[in-house]
Amino acid sequence: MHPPPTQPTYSEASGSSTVDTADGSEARLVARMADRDEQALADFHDRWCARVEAVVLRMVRDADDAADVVEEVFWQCWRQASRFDAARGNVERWVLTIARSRALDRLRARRRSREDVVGDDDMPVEGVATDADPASDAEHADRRTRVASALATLPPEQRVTLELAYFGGYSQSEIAARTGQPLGTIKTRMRLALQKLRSLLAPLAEDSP
Amino acid sequence: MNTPTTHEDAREALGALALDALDGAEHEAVIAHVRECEACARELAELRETAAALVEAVPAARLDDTRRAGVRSRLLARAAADRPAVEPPRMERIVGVEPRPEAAPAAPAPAPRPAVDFAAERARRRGVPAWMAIAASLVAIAAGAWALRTAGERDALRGQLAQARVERDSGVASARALSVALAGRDSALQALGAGDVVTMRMTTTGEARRGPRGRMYWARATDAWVFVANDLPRPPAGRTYQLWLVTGDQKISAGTFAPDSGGTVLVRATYRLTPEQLKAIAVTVEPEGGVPEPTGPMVLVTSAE
Repeated sequence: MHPPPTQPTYSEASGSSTVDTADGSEARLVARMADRDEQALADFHDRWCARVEAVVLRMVRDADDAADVVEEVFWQCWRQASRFDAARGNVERWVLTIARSRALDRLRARRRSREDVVGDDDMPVEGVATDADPASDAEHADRRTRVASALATLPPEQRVTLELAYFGGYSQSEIAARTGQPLGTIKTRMRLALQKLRSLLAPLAEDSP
Repeated sequence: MNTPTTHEDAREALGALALDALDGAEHEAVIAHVRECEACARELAELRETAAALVEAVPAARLDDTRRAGVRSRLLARAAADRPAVEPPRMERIVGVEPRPEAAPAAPAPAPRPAVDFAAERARRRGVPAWMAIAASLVAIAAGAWALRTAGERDALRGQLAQARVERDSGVASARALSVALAGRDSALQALGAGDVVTMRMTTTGEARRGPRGRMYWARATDAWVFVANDLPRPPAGRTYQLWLVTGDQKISAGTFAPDSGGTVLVRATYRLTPEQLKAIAVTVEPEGGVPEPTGPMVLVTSAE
């Protein structure tokens, strides 16, 4: 029993209403990919690899798997660049959503092929550079801090549930089994956690371009 | 075969749905409800938006340089392998253009031409890999050095033509033949369509000041190419000229052609390339009928003057 494929989903089509007015150059790079400009693919990779790698590594926690997944993420961006609608969503959200979806696919495939025991989240991952990309850090340190601290203010059981679902790709029933909690409790925690997070992050959303 | 769900049940499950954590049948049922329920659709959109912000919380981590570089190069290799199949460019050859009496007074009969024996051939004999050498004569298209920005493509072409006329190393007779070829072939001009026209000079390899000359006009907006050359000798018996669009890893035939008695040729083709893809344009001498890959001596190539 596995959660349904994460993409495409109903809500992805109707979710984000953010309009990228501030990053026309990002959208132009995607447009160049849509024109099959291979240099644009290289540039797009260089522009987003730090963010994509961080998301994928956080989720799959294995450098070789992560490299495969990152490749698939950018490949999907390349193939689907013509479908990106700059008027409806921003490039960052687009590429990171794809990153999470492909990482989830890998996690779930791994679990299907072997009874994957949840790895220790603090387990060191080989093949991962310890120096983070300074440019990426500077750009996102503030938002990362704000989301991470919002997450930290959630009751621990809500935060863990959220992380198991979002980064671990576990379904509600898997989380219920793992935590020994009733399914209804897990379901409620997920909704409450997201609602609380939403109220905490509202000022952040207003600041975003 | 969705399981029916109540509004309350569906609403309770929206968090799990936003996190992609619902199991199969319930997922379908809640999605079906959300499609019908405006309030749930709105809440789901908000929760989705919030869930998506969680990627911000990911700690900085990166692949090591080797893996990152490996990903990048595999991607580019896949993109190169994924290029659309190379179809022969649509080509219309216009050969044997004779000067019109009213447009150009009878020119002296062209002098007998030497057999094809140009710098590329000499380079080949010296062991210089001509096809590698053309990478060095890379067309500076990306820089837009020769991009013409004029009101109309026709004016652009005529401007180029006027320039061609005064080139001191262009023979008067061939300039006239070129003029007639262009003036008499409005369709060739129209093929370029609207927009910027990139002009590329083509010269004999290695000897920019001597030998035949050519120009390629490329209208990017319409993917139209018009190749004009003059002073081209007739190819040896059983041989033909073949025109090539050279990319980083392909030599795409734009067709075979023969010059008219005055050594003039005008070839029109339609083919889509990006400036980044185009590395050079070349003309080789090949067996009659043409070949899939260039084998013979190169007689003209784009020059980065």
